[in-house]
Amino acid sequence: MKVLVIDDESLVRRSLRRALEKSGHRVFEAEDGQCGLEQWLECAPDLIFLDVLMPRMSGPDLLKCVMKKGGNLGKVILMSAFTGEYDLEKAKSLGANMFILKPFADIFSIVQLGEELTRG
Amino acid sequence: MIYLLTRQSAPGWWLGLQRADLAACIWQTGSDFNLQAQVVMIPRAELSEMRKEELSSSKVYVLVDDAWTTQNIKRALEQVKGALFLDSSQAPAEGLKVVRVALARQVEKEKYAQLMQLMRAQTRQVDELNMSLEQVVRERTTNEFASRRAGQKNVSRVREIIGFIKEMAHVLEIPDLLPLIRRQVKEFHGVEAPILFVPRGEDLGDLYYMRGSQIIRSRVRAKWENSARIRSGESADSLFVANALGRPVGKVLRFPLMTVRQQKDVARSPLVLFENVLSPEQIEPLVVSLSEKLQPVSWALDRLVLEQELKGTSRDWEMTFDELSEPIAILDHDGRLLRANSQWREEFKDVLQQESTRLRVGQKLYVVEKYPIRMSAAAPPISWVVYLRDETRSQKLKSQAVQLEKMSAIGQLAGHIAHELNNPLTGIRSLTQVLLTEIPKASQVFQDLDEVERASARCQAIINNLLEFSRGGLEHKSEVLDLNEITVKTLPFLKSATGRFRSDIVLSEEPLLVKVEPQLMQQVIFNLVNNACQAMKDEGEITVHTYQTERWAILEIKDTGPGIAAELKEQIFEPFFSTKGEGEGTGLGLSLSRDFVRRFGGDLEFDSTPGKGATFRVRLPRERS
Repeated sequence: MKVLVIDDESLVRRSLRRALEKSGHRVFEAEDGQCGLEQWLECAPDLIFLDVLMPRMSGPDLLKCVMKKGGNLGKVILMSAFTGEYDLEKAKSLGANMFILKPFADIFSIVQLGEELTRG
Repeated sequence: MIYLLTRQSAPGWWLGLQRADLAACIWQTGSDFNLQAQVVMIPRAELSEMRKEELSSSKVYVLVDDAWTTQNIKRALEQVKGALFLDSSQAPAEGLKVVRVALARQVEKEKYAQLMQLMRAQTRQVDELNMSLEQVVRERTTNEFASRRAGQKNVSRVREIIGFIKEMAHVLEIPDLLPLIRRQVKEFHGVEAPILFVPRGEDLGDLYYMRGSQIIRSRVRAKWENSARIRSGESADSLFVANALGRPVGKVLRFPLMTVRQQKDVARSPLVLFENVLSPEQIEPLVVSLSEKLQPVSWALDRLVLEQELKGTSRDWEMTFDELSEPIAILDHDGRLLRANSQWREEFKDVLQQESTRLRVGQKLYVVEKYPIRMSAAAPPISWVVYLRDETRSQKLKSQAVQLEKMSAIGQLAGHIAHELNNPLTGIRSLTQVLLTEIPKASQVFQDLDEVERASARCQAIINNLLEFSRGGLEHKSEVLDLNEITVKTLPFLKSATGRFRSDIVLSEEPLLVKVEPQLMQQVIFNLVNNACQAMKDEGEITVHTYQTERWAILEIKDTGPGIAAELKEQIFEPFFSTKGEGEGTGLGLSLSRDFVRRFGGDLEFDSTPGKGATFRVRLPRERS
């Protein structure tokens, strides 16, 4: 499946790409919200890892934008390193399917979570 | 008396002429000479028969004898002293000359006699005057003695009164008046010791009386008719004294004391009462004697009652001062203590000399306020009122607020740092995890990467805890949490502190649910463990132990340091109390910790055996899951 990773931290993008590719997925990357929007609309991913705080456009704004354009939404996992402001409930209200807190305890369980989400 | 001797046979004209001339002569001698111009002719033979008293000094006697011989003329002249012989054979002018001389002599004689008489009279008068003067002097002297005696008596009476006034002025207590009054009536027999009644309030009074040398005061309820009159033998007075003394009483002499303060209210003047057996006549001198002496008693009583009231007033003030919870004192310009309330302590004595407006004594922090007392606006201060405002509590609150504010600022900063660190850390850890799947487990690189993975995991934990520890600043919310979990999350922060010591962490197996604000609770644990480590200095063991009782979840932090001296037990929870060196401790850690624990409904206590360490025990109410 096609997975889009939108995060301004390259190491996060790289680790997710490596873990996802190990499971045979095609991975697209975007380093900020604006690039993310273009990629999203262009490649219609099945699963999107979306960071909250990014330059140019934040994760939630990007999500809103995509929903407005009515494109293929895919499953969205919202990620945040800043605890307290976001939780699963808030993420769902924004249109995401899942919320995970950075740092991840185990990258492969995150990949697994994404796979289960798209299957289910 | 002038005698003129002449011969009868002298020619008549001469005689006649003689008479007229004599008269003229006599007249000419002057008015002050009381000689009448009367010439009496007496035959010499009759002269001896004439009685002397019949002869008048104011007449000129002309003795006539025909037989004047030189011899009998001489005899006659001797017989009649001062007589002149007029020889009729002489010419009349010559005779007149003789008469004039005689007259002059006579006048002189008369004048002399008169003078002598006058002198005698005067001497007599002088004598009389002398006598009466002596009489007067005698009388006067007698009077003088009498009056001097009287004067002396008067003076001694005045002296006595003055002495009495002086004595009265030195009396310090009302009862001491009684013996002095008694001395004044000692000379009167049949008069008992005085009884003094001093009204207090509406219908109460103090009765002072003597029993032997003892003076007894009894408070009596006395609502009675009173007047400014001195009176004796009134049954009401006897009854009053009898009631007060509790025994029958005879006649009573009553003196109201006209005190200044009671002048407006005569009916409530103090009284001096004398039980006596005197008759009305005997009473009189007693009344006279006492009347002038009781005025000083009134003055003294005035003063004593006033002093008592003043003492009462100043006692009220002293009590008010003492009630003030903060030290206040009056110091003279050299800083000597004039007055102070009970909160004032020896340590404050140099406060006037200090420039600083803050004073720290023991655990207390005071703000010093000084107010000068001047006689006039321009005068230099004569003394100072010094008031020490206890700032300890407000300072503590301020420090707490500052502390919390600081925590909040640190929290925000930590949040940002944590976020910034978390992102790359996520990448590091995740990528390491990916790499670990790509190399053989036996290789050296695998083990190295594994180490990196675990280290980054630890970093994550620390950052997460830091976030939790600092989150939210002042707006903490209580949550039900496991005390063990909080403890475990806190301990990593203390690694640098606990590193040197052996540490033993014994946590209860079951979770200890408590309702706390996690950040504050972490701070408590942090403070207690940190204190324990600092107390131990070089080596020792620190034990963290959690367990539960029926009601409480308990966290014990035990060290093997020097322990807490008994005399400090009361102080260690005081804000600013610190045994640590300057700059090492704020003196707020334990104080804040206990505040926090109490906020959660628990308490912070400690046990310590000096030399063997201390155990701090946090007790929190258990939450049922």
